[in-house]
Amino acid sequence: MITMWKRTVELDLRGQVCPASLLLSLKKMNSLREDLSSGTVALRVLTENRESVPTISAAAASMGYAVTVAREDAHYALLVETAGAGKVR
Amino acid sequence: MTPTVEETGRLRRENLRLAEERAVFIRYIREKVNELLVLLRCPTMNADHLGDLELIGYDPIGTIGVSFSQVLDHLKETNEQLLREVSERTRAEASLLESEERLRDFIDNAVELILSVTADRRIEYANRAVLSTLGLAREEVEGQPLCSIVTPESKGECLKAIGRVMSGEKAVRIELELQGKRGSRVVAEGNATGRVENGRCLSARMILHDVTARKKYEEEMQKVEKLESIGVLAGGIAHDFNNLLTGILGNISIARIHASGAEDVQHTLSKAEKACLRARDLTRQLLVFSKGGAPVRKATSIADILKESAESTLRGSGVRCEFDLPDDLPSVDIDEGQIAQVMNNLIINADQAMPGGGTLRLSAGIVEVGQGGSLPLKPGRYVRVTVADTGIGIPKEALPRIFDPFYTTKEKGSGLGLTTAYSVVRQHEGMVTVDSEPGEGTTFSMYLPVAGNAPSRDTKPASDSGNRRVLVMDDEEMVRQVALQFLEHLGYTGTAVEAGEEAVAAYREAREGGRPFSAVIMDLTIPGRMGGKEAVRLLHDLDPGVRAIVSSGYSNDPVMSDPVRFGFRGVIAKPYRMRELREILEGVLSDGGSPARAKSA
Repeated sequence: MITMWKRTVELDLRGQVCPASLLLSLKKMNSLREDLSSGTVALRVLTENRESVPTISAAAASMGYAVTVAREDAHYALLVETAGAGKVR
Repeated sequence: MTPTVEETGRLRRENLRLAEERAVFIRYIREKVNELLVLLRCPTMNADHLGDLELIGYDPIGTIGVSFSQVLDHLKETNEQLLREVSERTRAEASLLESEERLRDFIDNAVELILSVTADRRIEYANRAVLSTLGLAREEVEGQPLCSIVTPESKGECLKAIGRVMSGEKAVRIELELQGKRGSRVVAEGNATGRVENGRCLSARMILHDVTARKKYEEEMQKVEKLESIGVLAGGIAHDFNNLLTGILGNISIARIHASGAEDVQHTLSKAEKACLRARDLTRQLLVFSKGGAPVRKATSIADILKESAESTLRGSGVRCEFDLPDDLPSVDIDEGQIAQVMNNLIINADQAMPGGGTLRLSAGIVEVGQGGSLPLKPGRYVRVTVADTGIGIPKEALPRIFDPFYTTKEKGSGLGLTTAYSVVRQHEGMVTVDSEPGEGTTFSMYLPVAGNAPSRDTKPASDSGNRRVLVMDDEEMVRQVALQFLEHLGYTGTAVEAGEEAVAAYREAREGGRPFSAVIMDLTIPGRMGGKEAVRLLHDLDPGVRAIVSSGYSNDPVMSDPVRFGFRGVIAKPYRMRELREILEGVLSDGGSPARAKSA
């Protein structure tokens, strides 16, 4: 079994609103598709737009990712990672 | 070059048309993007939020398209996962079902009695063994109170044991008696355990074995052991009693000779003799009952036994007795005392079956049994004696058991009467069968072998007995005295000794002195000294032609039923009368061949 360390890619969408923030998140998730699925990469999305949080979360969940939302100061941080967190696929 | 007015107008119109076309395209794209966003549960956009070029810059259709392919992949994977789970669950359910079915099969087909009882003491489940043992249908058991299948006698103990299980005790030993249809009872024992859920005992489960047969066997073994000790005691008493009776009977015979002519004395002595003979029969019955001794058989008229037995047994009874006994009925080869006992037992049963009176029909006839007949008898001629009553009859279910030891339907019955009858008749190489119709009556049939062509033994007169010497060996003074007086009266010269050692010495001495004994009568057992069985061997060494007669109060010694094998020529059972002594001596002295038996009156 090969164990790989997870790397976090950050996507800062502060100042953006939907659907731009969603489209940008989707684009990132698409480009990181392999690494996100295999669990080597986690995507951290920062947004100030409250509306974007459930939208991005729902879209990520539909694609099979696990999403955890944290409130940080004036923004939200959404951590998108493989459903089997830390799991090597 | 400046465009013409015409040209400018055309360009403007063209420009306007292109702008309109572009607006149509953009509107179309925005609409489609919005539709896609709705699918992604994203708020739709308007042109204020996002300019056309900016929107195109985000590549919305391409991005959403790729995202959808991710969603699709995920759905496909989820679906596959679900399918795997469903098939896994289906397999698990099937295997659970199979394992449950297997367990149910084991439990249902187990020979053990398996029961489950709820907290309110109702039967939740009973396996097939329980149902068949009790003769009940499933719906007659399941859902019913446990007490409905437990006898009142064992209810208390049983409920107590279940109470212990319900209060949390692990495995509790349980013994109970189950009762089913028609009162059948089954003793069962085993273990009870509780089914506990959330700390509460919901039901008690019992696995029990049917130990009825073992219990019955143990009980019967106890009875048999008790009976064996009674048998030993009875045998001992009968032996002493027969010696005493020999003395009494002998002295009465002699007194009758001395008092010949005195009518009243003769009458009194005759009554005393009859009483003695009844006492003798009683001791024989005692032996038959206690030990079922081997029969001492001789040719006998069964008709006389039937008449005597009916007369004595039915005295004072309200039962009418009819006989159907042909005159030409052949003799049967039987032990008179034992067969009389069997007849008494059968007639007493018949009498008791007719408490309100009725008719008892005693009949006899000849039956030829061939090879391979339905009766388990050796081929040959038999006399069939039937005892038919018009009484209450025997219930169908009791019929196969009536010959079982200790089986009785009577309040005070010993359960030995028919058992004795059966074993006695079997020992005579005969058999007893029964036929009964409840409410109509019962018929017992007894098959007894017809006596062979045994030579008649009471024809030869004691012609030359005067010069014949007879040696008598018995440890009882009275028996010796009587025997000597009998011998003297019969014209023989008698000599009496106490034990085997002396008998052998006297026999040798007489031979050597030229005055040999013609016959020797020896007691079978002499306590502490040499008995007849050993003495006869020594006598054979001295004189292979010795005519020895064995005499005993024990009718159950093998020597008495097969004297020749032990070296004797004849048998005489104590107590005996003068006539019997005469017959046996004449029989033994007249021929050297087959063994002779004393004929009792």
